[in-house]
Amino acid sequence: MEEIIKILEEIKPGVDYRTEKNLFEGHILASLEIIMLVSELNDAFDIKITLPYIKPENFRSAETIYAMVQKVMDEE
Amino acid sequence: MQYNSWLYVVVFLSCTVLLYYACPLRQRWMILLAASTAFYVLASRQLILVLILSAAVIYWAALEIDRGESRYQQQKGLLSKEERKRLKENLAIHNRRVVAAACMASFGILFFLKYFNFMGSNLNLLFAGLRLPLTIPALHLMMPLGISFYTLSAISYLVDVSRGACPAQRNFAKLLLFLIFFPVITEGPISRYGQLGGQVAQGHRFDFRAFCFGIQLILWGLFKSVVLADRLAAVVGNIFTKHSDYSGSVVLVAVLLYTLQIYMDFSGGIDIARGSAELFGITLAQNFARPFFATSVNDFWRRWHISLGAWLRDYIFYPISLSHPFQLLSKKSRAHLNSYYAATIPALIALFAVWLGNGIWHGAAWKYICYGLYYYIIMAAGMLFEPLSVRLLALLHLRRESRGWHLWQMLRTFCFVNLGMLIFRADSLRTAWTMFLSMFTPYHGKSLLQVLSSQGLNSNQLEIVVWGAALVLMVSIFQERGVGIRTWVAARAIPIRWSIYIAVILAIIIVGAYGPGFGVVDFIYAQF
Repeated sequence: MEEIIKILEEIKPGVDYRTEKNLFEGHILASLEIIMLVSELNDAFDIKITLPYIKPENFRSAETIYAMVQKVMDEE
Repeated sequence: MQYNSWLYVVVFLSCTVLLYYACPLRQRWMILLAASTAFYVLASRQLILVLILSAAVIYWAALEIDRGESRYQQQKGLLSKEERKRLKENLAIHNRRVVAAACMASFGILFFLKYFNFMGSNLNLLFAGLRLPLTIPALHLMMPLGISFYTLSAISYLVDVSRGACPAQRNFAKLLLFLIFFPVITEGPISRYGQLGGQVAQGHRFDFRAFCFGIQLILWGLFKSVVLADRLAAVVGNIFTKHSDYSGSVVLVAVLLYTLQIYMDFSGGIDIARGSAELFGITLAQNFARPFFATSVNDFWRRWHISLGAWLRDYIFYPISLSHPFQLLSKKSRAHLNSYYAATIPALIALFAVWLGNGIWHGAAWKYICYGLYYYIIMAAGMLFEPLSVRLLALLHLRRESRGWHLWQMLRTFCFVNLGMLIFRADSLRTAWTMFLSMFTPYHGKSLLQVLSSQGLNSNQLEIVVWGAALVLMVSIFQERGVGIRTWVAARAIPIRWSIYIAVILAIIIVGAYGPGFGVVDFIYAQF
């Protein structure tokens, strides 16, 4: 979780990722940041996040991103 | 049948609502299918067969994917991890082929009907340039109603099924209803199956509050469309047609009035569509979110024709950006560039496809392609110069959060949007350029008001436009501050509430653009 927050802060600083629950719908993470985030997550966790995972509910908060990473790791 | 016609509102919609709620709950979707089919046949006659063909291809493809997934689910428990992985990979390849074949068929129909003559005329120019004795004849092709909208909805459904985001619909008639649903077929919003498919297929009980909200939205849409957009159509059309007679402020005002016209026309049509659906207890996706409050071109496209932007993002931008070659490019970029440019450069390549797609979707003409690329250039420049802009602002001690900076961004975006609208509305790129240049030449003819009056917008009409636009602006400001206008109206005492309803109805009847000088105006986006 801490690693995900660190990645998020590097991509877009100035957001409280521990409390923010509206990252996608609030356009805090726009499509460019989503792509940056996916690339960073793929590298950091040695996973491959595929298109079916790119949906709003997976990018609403640091927790949902963490849950998505866990799911991808489990499936791999 | 136009959404803003009395025939639609008073006869078609009212009868459909009565039949819908008179029918047993489980059969109500059939009323919607019958009404949507009737609506479509009235507009496009036998061309409904084209839509049915597209729907059949997508239906088959989705079931094929579903069957493969079911087989995998049945077998996976009996297989080792390695075998399971191999089976999954084979299934993914099979699904990709099915999706590609169905998309080629669907897009093939769209491209043939919408772009064949455009491609043919350009190839003929090329052949002539190369002195080749070849000519592609122009065909007299009829466009089925809403082909650009339902094709995108159909493809999004199939891709979503292949991604596991929604289940395949086993009932062909219900899938057809999702594609042909009459409130969305003319102008969108471009629907997603996960959002609309289930809603149209199930019966809804009568909900008085949703029904009232639906009527309010229809009235508001009619106000924008009949009182404002239709009133501006004549004057804008006349000045754009005779643009060579004018320059300076006249051309500038014509462009501003066109921007106002297209916004009122398109957002008004969408309000009527959303309101119509709400009468049946169905909620459609938002397609507008106060676009003229946007602080950047990027932000504008998140607020204008939202469903098209979201479609291009989900089905073009993400697949390209997350594809293997782009991920490799991204990795290589990170080795040579700073993290911002490493992410930006591959994204810019993917965005080119997005904006080219946006332009092509709007129509078969170079001006539409340039319209898309115009926004691409602005957006790309904004992204490339972003670090420089941050440094420059820090140097000048300007705060991005300040009100002044915010207003400047809104004004700048508004100017970019108006230039885009000039490209969109002008007959050709050459005309757009000529009109753009002519804005910088003062006009020495009659006064601006006299010109507007002679072209169909006299001082009384202008007054209605100004007050109407001010009302829409006021409502937008409230909405931007999070105030739900319909909820606010619903919470007022009956006399106030009904005074508002009657005022809007009277405005539509009394100051609507009917009679001499005004004709029935087609919705601008219905032609796409």
